[in-house]
Amino acid sequence: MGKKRIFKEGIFKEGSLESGNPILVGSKCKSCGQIYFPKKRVCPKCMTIDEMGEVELSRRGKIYSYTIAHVGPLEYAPYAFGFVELPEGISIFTHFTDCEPFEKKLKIDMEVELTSGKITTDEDGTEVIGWKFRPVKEG
Amino acid sequence: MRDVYVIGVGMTKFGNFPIRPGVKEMGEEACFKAMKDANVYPKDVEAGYCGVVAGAGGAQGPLAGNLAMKQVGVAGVPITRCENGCASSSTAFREAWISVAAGLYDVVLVLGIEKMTGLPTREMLKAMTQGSDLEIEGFMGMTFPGVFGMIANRHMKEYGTTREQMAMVSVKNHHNATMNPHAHYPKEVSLEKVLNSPMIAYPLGLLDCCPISDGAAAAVIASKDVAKKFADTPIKILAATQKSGTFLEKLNITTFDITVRAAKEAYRMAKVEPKDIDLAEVHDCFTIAEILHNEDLGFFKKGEGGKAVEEGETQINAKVSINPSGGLLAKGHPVGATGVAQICELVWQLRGEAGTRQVDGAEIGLAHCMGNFSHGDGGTCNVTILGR
Repeated sequence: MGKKRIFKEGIFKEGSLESGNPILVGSKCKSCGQIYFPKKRVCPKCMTIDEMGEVELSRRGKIYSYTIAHVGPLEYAPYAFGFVELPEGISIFTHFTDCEPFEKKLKIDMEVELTSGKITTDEDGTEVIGWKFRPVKEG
Repeated sequence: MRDVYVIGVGMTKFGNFPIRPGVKEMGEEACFKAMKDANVYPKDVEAGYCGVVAGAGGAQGPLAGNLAMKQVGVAGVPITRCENGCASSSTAFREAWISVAAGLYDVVLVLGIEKMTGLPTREMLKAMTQGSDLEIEGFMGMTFPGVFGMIANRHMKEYGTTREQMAMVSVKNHHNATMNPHAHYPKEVSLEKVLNSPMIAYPLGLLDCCPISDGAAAAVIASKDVAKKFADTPIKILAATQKSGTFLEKLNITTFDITVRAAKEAYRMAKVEPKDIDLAEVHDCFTIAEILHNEDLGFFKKGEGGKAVEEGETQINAKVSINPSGGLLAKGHPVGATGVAQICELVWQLRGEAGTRQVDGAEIGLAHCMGNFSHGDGGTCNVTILGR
């Protein structure tokens, strides 16, 4: 097994990545209840700092929109990305996986679930792991 | 606030110039042409503003304005670099307008400049991700074609906009560019050619995307009293607005709220309505972008931008002449130069000097420029309205 690293600290709930059912963690303002992802310190609605609690985000959502990059800065192509809307009312920018050929399988409003995977590779060969969404398997 | 006028404009041909001219030579040519057009000498210019991005390719960014303006003798006065991605020189133009309107200066030189070619496309796309949220979107390989690919798919889903309607924007703008001596791609393209061009970001093909270009554009602006001394046909700045994105947690990518807000304020400031606009240079970095902007600027109802193109309502001398210069798609998009290049086109059109692409009887023109994108929203949007 090659080396791996998560691209940003504190993104996943501790241990959830290893369990195979990753969970993303965001911030929830203790005053107004607004949810933010990734986590942040200031709630601009309330102008409070460090008054956030942590919140586990839903693992399922709907594709708001997507595209398939055939040319891009990553070391491979094509790759698919877009936005997923979560029931919490926030949207997350993400890669899509397990749905090739993308042109045929990806659809707006399709139900997807959180997974994880390699986004890119560092110069020393370390795989950089981030979140991805994949179609919900029927049944 | 004092009335301010554009008294001179000039630009280089846009194109692919990997070796020469460089940043200094392109800036020199644009500034010289604008100053000659305005009939001003270096001693008349009291300040300079330069829009340049240069996140890409190690081209000259800092000091580019000073070095280019020095070539034409504009030195020693305050010179300010403005950087707002693809809206850098539209921002510079507005800053210059503020300085003259506020009474600080009477004559100011504005330059937009960019040197982009010479890098492999993949490297250029990577450099351009500086204009997004680098930590997340940049890391995941989000590209600007990809941003507009997402917008296109959603617009198609919500409003039934078609691939063909998008391709027609490219066909129209390439046609307009054949009449523009400054255009990067003054070549007709057929609908089939656009539809069959190599896929870049689904559903957008290569000819749905603006090219990577080099070029520079300049303008000289002046206060009312001074403008009349220099210019026979000064063009009045009726409005110059700027907004930033709100990047809301909940998305709506089929409208750029940033454009809607910048346009509303501009129409109010200029005391005009969308129906009064004879021509508009809008930020058509991708075909779907022009459709979106035409709706958001109030020329057509939301969702009807695709149909408007299909019915020919955006062609020269139709309902509203959109991108008579050929736009970013065909005139080219040297990012830092684009904002002022749009101003050049408006001025030529309003003076009746636009040759075979002239919009008949043009009296009011609008320029719309956007820079940087994150979370489905624009970073900066400038709307400028000029009148004869």
